[in-house]
Amino acid sequence: MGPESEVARLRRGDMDALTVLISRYQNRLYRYLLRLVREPAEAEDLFQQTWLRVAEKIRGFDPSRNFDAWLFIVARNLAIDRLRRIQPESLDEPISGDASGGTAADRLTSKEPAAIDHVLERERSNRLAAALITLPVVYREVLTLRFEEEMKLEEIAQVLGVPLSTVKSRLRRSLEQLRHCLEPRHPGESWQ
Amino acid sequence: MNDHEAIRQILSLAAAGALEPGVEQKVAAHVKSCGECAAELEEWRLLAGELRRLPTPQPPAILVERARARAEAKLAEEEEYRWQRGVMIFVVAFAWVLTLMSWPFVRLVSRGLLGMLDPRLNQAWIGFAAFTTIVWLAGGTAAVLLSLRQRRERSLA
Amino acid sequence: MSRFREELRIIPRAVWIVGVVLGVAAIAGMATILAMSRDPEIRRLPVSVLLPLFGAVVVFVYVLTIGYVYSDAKRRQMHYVMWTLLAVCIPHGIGIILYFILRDPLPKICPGCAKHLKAGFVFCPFCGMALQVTCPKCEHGVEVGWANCPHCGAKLPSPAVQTA
Repeated sequence: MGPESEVARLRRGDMDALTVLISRYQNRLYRYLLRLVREPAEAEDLFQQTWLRVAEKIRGFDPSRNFDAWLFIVARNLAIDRLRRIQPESLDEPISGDASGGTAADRLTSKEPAAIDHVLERERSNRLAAALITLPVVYREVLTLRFEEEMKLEEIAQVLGVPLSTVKSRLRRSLEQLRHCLEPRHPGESWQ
Repeated sequence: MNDHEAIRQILSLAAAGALEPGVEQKVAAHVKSCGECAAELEEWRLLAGELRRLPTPQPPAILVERARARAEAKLAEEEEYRWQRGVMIFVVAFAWVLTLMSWPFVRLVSRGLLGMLDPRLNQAWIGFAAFTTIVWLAGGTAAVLLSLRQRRERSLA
Repeated sequence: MSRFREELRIIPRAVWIVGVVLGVAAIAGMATILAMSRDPEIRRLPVSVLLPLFGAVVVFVYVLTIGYVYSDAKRRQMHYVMWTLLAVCIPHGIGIILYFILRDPLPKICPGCAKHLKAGFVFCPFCGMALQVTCPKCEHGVEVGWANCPHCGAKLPSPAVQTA
């Protein structure tokens, strides 16, 4: 059940196809943007910008290409431009293995009261989300594309515009840094 | 052992399912015999699982509606723009065709009829070229000025 | 392509007939002139066949274009007689170019009283119905998808809620 038929209809100017496509990709797209820019207000603005860009460029889109990858590339370009302007953190990989500084726990989503069974799970995923936020953007994006989007490595390489080997090395380093972030009490065990 | 170190490095990738089948098999084989690596691999798998199970943030419904409305308006705008551009290209090309087509007629007429009146009128091509240039320049200038003024008026309204 | 067909449909049928007639006349006329010409090179076969045909096509398209200008200017509530004359009389088709650059936008039809209205109106002057989405506070026209009114700054409701 791919988006090919909707894309074809959209290229012909069918407005309903637009509605279908948006509803199909809205959660994934929003999640990806939020992981990249971290601020919900920014992510919301970029969400609209992405779909505007899609409306602009859909005619020039070669339908034989992968629409998923293209959509994420469009979103990524907009997000990177925005990040360059508002958060001039380095967009390249850090050379050292240290976690970048940053406000970790402050950016948590509000903790609603939950059943006791879920509290621990929540606690874990909140810590994980907090740790994710502190990673550099290049690590955040490869992790979200691989584990939340469940994209194949080739697709990730396409979206990021880097060779497959780079994707693998970034994936490896990002996982290591994430783990390092989560278990600061046992540095000895993690890094034998 | 060198192998052990190398495999330890890529255990995280194994948990992410990012290894080629051949390499994955080597890792699986090693892990069977090495308790340390097995424990490590399990740690990575847990982390990977947690990453996969992160709750998905939902976009607010009002945002989606707004985005859809704007994108729809943009689509219509693009369509209109493309059409208008096509029309203008056609019209300008046609205007050139008319210009070029009128030259043979002028030549025929001047040779045939006017030639009988005054031999000097056979220099028709100079007159024609001058006439054409003046008309195109005047018309082009008028078009530019009028459309600028019209655009200004429309944006103020 | 269907947009093209839609636009062609506004050309009155009489114009199509005139176009065909003049096109045929053009072929006949040009062929005759070529036959009578004393210039030997013109009589070479390709030119003497292609040129009248090409000329007929040009005449046909020209007539249709003028007809389109006439009925398009009419439906846009412009001075259609003046524009048609401009399109015809300004040589080399410059008048036609001018028309397409300067034409007014299409008028909208009021959903309340079905009268034709000039584009750009926010309210119908006959029945008062709102033609565009308006700001709930200052009643200015706003566009879909905006979050705030650019005139008074009020927050605008979601597009699903806005009525137009």
